[in-house]
Amino acid sequence: MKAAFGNMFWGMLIVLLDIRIGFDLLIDPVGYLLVAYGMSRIDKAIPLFRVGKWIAVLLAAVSIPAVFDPGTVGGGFQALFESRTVEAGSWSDIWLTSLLGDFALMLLIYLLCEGICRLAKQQGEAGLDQQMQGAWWLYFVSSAPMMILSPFLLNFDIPGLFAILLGVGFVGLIAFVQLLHGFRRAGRDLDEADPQHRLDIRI
Amino acid sequence: MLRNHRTFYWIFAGLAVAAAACWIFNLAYYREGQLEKPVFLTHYIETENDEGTLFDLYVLENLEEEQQIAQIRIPGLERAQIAVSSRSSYRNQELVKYTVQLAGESADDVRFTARSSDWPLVFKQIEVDYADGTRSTENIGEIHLYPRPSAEPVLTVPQSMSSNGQEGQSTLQAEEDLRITGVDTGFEVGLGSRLELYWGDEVGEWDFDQPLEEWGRGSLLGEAKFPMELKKGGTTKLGYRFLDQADDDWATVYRLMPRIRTESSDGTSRILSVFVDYAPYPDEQQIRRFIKERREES
Repeated sequence: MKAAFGNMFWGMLIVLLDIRIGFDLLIDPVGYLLVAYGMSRIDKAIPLFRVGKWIAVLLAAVSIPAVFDPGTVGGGFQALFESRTVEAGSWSDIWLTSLLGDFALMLLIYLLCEGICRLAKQQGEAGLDQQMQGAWWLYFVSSAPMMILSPFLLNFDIPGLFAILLGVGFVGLIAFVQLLHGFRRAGRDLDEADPQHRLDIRI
Repeated sequence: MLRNHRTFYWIFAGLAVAAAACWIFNLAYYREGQLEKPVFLTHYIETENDEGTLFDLYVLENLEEEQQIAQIRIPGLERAQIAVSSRSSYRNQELVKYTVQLAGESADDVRFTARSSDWPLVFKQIEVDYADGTRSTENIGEIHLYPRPSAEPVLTVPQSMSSNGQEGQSTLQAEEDLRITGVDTGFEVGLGSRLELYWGDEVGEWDFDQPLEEWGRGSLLGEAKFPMELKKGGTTKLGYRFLDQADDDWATVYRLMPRIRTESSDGTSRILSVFVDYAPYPDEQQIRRFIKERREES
């Protein structure tokens, strides 16, 4: 268990961090694949992760173009914003991958949080359950409005955009930090759970 | 996390539908605001066939233009130097200004090949080479090219200025005692009451901190009385103001050349040409309406 949550921790950390030297040094596809690997190691115990690992693989594929060209696609709202400033990328490419990428990431984070919540409940780890719920809702409230708002950047000037970006960026960052801490805590507190024992909870 | 775990799937599905609807709406709106190809504005340009003469041509093109312009040529003025001199960016388009400079050779070519009865030479089309290798001929309005006056004018223009691309004035100074017998305003295609010309017999102090409005324009040219005597060193001024009336007026660009007729004390008549320029500064809404009209026309 600990190793699997460790994979997820490092995978999501790689996704979160951007160190660009012409290209992203910590490339997102590697991060997503690491998450997928971690999920696959305990998908017997958490059946939700069977779906989740394929979503992580999908995200790895979707984020490949952004490794080489930050102005094109892969980062949803970020891609839209960057494309406007660097005048690169085709909108028709962006909207498809942005829509796909943003929704896939949201679904992945939901499955990660929900899966850990269920296991935590089963193991009587109420604190971890609360933490992962908090991480999910913070992520949801920071990204859902941007999913609706970002298409309008294509055509309209949104008043206070910088403040909105700053606000949702900060809330999103807290959500990610909470999620990462949750992986660490799950690795420590849920290590007793049997990875081969299936949780009797419907997907 | 949720009491009924299926609730999340409903929330997620609702969000997906809403986001997809927003994207579809915005993409349709975005495509509606795209030009099918670069569009040259309508120009009415009067200029003299003289080395170094400059005038501007404007084209509106999409920021993400698939058919990018590589270069333009004016048939009959092939050796004129044409280069992009500025780009004004809008949300999805840019207004590109090409500055045409008549080089010595191009001007000489025209001068020697044209018969006197041919003047002014009129150019109505340009050839456009696109980056993808295609080529097209585009209407640009009219460029009227006049011969350079053979005699040096006895009026000079020590100062001229313009403001907002839509108004300006030229100070005229007499090099000798003379009479100004009138001002010919050349062709004013489609101008209507859009252009006002002013004539002032006194020039105030030039103060660039003051708006042009406060400098005083003088009286309307139609109310000015000619002939007018001017002593050597004496000054007067010719001012102009373009008044955009219709919403698409910005899309018709002018460079007009009022000609000031003078008569020296020995009876010699000469002409001084001054320039009256209109530069387009449309706002985002005007650009959008212009594109909408173009799309409806096509």
